[in-house]
Amino acid sequence: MKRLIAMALLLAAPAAAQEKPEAPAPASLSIQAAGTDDQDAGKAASLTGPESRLQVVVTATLPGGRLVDWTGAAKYTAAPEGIVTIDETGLVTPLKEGTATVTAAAGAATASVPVKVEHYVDPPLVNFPNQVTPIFTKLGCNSGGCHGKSGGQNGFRLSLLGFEPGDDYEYLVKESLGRRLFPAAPEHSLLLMKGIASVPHGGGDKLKKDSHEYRLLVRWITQGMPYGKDDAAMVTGISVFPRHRVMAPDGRQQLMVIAHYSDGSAENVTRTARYEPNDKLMASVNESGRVQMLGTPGEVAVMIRYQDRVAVAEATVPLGAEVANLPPVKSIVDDHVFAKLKKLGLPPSPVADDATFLRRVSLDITGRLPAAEVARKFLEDPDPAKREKAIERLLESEAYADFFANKWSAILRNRRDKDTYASGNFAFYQWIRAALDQNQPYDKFVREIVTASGEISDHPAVAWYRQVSKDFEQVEDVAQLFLGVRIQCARCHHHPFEKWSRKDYYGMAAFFSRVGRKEGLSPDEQRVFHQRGIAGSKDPKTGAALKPTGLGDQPLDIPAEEDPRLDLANWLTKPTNPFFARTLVNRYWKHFFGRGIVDPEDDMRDTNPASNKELLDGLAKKFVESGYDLKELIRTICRSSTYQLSSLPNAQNASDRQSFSRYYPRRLNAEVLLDSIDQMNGSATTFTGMPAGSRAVQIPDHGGVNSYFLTVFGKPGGASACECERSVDASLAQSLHLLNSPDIHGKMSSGVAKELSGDMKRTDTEKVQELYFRAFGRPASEHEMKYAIAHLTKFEAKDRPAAYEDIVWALINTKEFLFNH
Amino acid sequence: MNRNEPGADRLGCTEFRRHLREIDRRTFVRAGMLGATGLAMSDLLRLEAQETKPASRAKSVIILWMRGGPSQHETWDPKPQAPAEIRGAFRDIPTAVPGIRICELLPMSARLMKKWSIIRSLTHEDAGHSSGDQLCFTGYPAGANPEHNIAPSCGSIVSRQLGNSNPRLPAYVMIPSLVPGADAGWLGPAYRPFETQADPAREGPFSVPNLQAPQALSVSRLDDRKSLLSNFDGLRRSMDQSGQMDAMDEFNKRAWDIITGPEARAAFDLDAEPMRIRERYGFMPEYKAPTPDRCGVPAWSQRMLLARRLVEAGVRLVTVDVRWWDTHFEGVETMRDGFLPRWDRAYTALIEDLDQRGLLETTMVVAWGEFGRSPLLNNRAGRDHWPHVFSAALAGGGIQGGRVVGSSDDKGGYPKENPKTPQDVLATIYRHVGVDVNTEYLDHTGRPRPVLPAGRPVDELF
Repeated sequence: MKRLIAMALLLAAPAAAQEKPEAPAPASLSIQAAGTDDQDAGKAASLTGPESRLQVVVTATLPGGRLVDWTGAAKYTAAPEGIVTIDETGLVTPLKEGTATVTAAAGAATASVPVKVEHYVDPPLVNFPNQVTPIFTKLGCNSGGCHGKSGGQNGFRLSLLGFEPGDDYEYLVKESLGRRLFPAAPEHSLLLMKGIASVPHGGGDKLKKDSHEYRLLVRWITQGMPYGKDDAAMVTGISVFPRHRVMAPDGRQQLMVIAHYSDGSAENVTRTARYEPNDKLMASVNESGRVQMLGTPGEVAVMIRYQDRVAVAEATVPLGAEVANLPPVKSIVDDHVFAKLKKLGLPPSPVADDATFLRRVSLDITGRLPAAEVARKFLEDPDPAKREKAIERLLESEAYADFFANKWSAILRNRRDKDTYASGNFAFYQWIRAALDQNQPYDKFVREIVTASGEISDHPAVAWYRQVSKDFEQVEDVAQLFLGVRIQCARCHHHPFEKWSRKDYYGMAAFFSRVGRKEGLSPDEQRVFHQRGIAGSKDPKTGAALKPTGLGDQPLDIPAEEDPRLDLANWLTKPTNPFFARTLVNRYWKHFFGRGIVDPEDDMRDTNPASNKELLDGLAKKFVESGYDLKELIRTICRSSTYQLSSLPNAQNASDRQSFSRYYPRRLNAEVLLDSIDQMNGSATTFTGMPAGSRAVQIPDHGGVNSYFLTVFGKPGGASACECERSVDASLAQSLHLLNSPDIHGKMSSGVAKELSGDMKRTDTEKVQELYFRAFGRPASEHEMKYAIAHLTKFEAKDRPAAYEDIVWALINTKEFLFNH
Repeated sequence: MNRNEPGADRLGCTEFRRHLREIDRRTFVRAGMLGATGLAMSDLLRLEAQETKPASRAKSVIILWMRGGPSQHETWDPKPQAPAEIRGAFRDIPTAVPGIRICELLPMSARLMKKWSIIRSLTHEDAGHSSGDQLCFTGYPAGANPEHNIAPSCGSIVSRQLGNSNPRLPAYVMIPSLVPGADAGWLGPAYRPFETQADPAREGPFSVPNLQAPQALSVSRLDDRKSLLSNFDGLRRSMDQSGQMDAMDEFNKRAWDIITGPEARAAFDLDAEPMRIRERYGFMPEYKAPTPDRCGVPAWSQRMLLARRLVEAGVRLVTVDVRWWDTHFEGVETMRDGFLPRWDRAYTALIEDLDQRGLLETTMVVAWGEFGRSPLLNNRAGRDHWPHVFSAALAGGGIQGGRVVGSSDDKGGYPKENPKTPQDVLATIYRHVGVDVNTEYLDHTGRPRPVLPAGRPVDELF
């Protein structure tokens, strides 16, 4: 017997050998099969029925203490034989009833777990919601691209991602005269024939014949398609092991998922769960739940879905390089970011030079380039506190309010769908701008929007209610803007990526159930008021009545004469609200760094965790304590060394996109780009209906001013609460416009080039320097100056304007100009 | 579909009869009428195969956008038997295909009937211009503001999924300027159409701003600029992990090719077209509306010629604005004087031209507007918006000419047989050009949206 086992191991060895991670032999092993807590190592597992199977996870502790996944490298045996079989990936399948001990071995280290096989011969009736529906989710049948979309696919529909097993049972068994299933000859059921593509199937052969799923479905059909008892145990949650692991950049980790049932039982559902990493460039996961890291250091999360439950497993991938000579800690931002960089072993780039800093911070706080004179003075200034002073100066400027009003105006949907909306929109814009200019605390700002009542002329924030007019729009915008939660999906069904259900959605909608409207005094404008009555809403599918409930909080009983929006504002702005401060802080973080701590910035969920949780929490806490002071937040961010890091990568951090080990350059947005070209060039663009000399960033609303430049470069239309409506993607039309449009040519020929070419007092060198300071806030390098002068001297005096035009044109087309870096 | 509408003398509900038309095994089993429809098994298998294998060669599309909504009675679906207040002022004439009759003011189209086909049973519910536009271009209903694309137009989808067929030309062109519905919606401005902006209405040179280097810039000066730029543009690309800089560099390269190279200029250079061809399309001048409440007709004949040149050069999808068919008032006069002779000449010129150059097989030409017009003439001899039934003319891309798909009732008010939707037309376009309609793109809320939420290709045309 032993020889047979030895031979089997020898035969298995080549396959196992290719899995072996590069590491010394383990000091000890542990094996997990039935529970996801660390102390569940070795806990007995059970398999019920012939199609059951379970995935183990074997963890090796290396000498030195590091934990490494050994699931694919261990040698497996089961004793006594014939009860279960285990393959080299750690999948255990039953053979007959009884109890066996499964042992994993690596060198001298071993670990064992008892596995009991029950009901192999007389399996219990298949439970449709617990066993069949997950198959459709696993194989992708009920995804939103196929049968899961409303209306289904080619006449067959399933509930999205298996959220409504009861409905699925109806569709499958009862619809269409029951022709999809054939209990007398189960393998001739249309469901199976389509699934394995033995008849034409648009989805291909999603189901493999004789696979585990196939056999389970056959058994279910053979049993007469039972649904399951009404009191059968239902899944209450899932958990994953390991919840978090530090991994090598090319490392692998097998995950194990346990489903917990309402009767206290648990089941290993690893092979049936679905896996999705939140950053596909950092990790990939196969269908057995084995994660493969793809070489980039950082943090990545894998979302696991089983039925309507989600769980998340996280991996930290350190680079392990030496992190020394960190820049000085200037604010709490640095505390948290540097801590993470040390943990990851990811050295940051050095702090950027003065010219880069000044241009960057001017663009980020005010959307303007620093004037040439200001840049020159800044470079020459010996004051060690000059950067902090520059930040203060920018925060006090008019341009700060202009720039941030432009940002908020878009996501507050300040849109001119009709000309009669113009005066209301201008009032709303002025209100937003004044709030920013006077540094109104953010909680009051939001409160005034959410509770806005009356006429626009009294309370300009009522304009928000004009654009966001239906209750579902109000719920979704408030959630996306102020809570960072994209709750839209939960309007019709359970949210695919999160724990939110229709109950949560309509609980929020109830806050808006008493918003009344009457014709207002201004044409086409309405008066918004509170309609006396008890606030509540109804789940459209089940008809259940719901009270106003903050997300994740308790339902409220609001008296009839109280405007429930006040309660909503109170809930939003209370210091313990887990979303409010974090969302704002994250949004502003993204503004300054190009990537949120959670990204996308309005998609915060357990399955999309922060790349630096302590940073997010720390900034949020400080924000609340400061009284929701927006300028103070900007100070905290801009003063930090982290914000001031150079964008040039070092040997190790080029591929970092989430740990802020350097500044991530990004293209200037449409308005800022147009304004910067005009500013550098000394020209102006006229915008319909705006006073002369207005800048693009000052355009108060959307849809009233038509500018080809702005449209082509991605200015948002104010039709969404998502900042993603603004695009910075490149396009052919943009290139053609910048390189060759009459618009740009016209600006070049009537701007600074003309002025400089006529200036007889200064030398060419001085004039070229002037252009460089205007464009980049720095002097020209030797190479650049040489080329510029060479170009200029090619032209005769009468053609000097043309020569200067060429230089200005070239400068605005460089990436250094077009990007904030 | 509203089951209570007039014309309810048809058999069975539309859903049922629609399924009879959809040739598939499942319907036969359900209806038990395999023999009665007269379809052979081979037809069935052919149609099934067509469905599962999208075309994969480089194909193109010209959409002749008859903005305003052309009247079906005065174009391709005349009702000579109806009373005068429905029939209108014109009679019908026979065409080169026995059994098909169209409006008498389209004699050239009638002679060419073997090359193009008509769908007479298009239907939807949206009577607004811009909202109808959105539906016909995107397959999705309009958002709160119908002037503004929420969903991407078919051209944007084609451009996004298939990219450029000729790197020196845009994938998606709009002649001359953007109309509601033709924009990129949630795909982002990179997939907006390239607008020619300039309008090729008259004889003589035609040039597109942004494509032509201005007169003042000689070739050597352009070269100078290019080399200046490369000497100044020293910012290290390695700092950008997002790919934005690389993308810009790539587009810049293409833009340079377009500006300095001959291809794009040639494609847009109408002057290079022999005058007899230009005349074949016609130079009918603009029809100015006699009163402000009536429609004018810009001189769009040469726009169609430009579209042919563009698809010949490798643009995948060209949308041509051939407005403004919104004949609420004195429609008879406007159709007679403004639209139909112009249309007849230019449309047949386009089809013949494509055919003679061997381009008709790979170029699908779709001519339609956002809805049809009311069967009953109003008190100013015009017709009003009518989405319940309208017609479209399709040719090329494998479409067999001389077919009529579907029919409207005897008043031309509601579909009688085989109703089709705008999404069906879009599905036909997508299948021709090779777009997978089940691909999903994320909208601004992060929700995945398929290319088309519904619609099947109009197989009856092939």
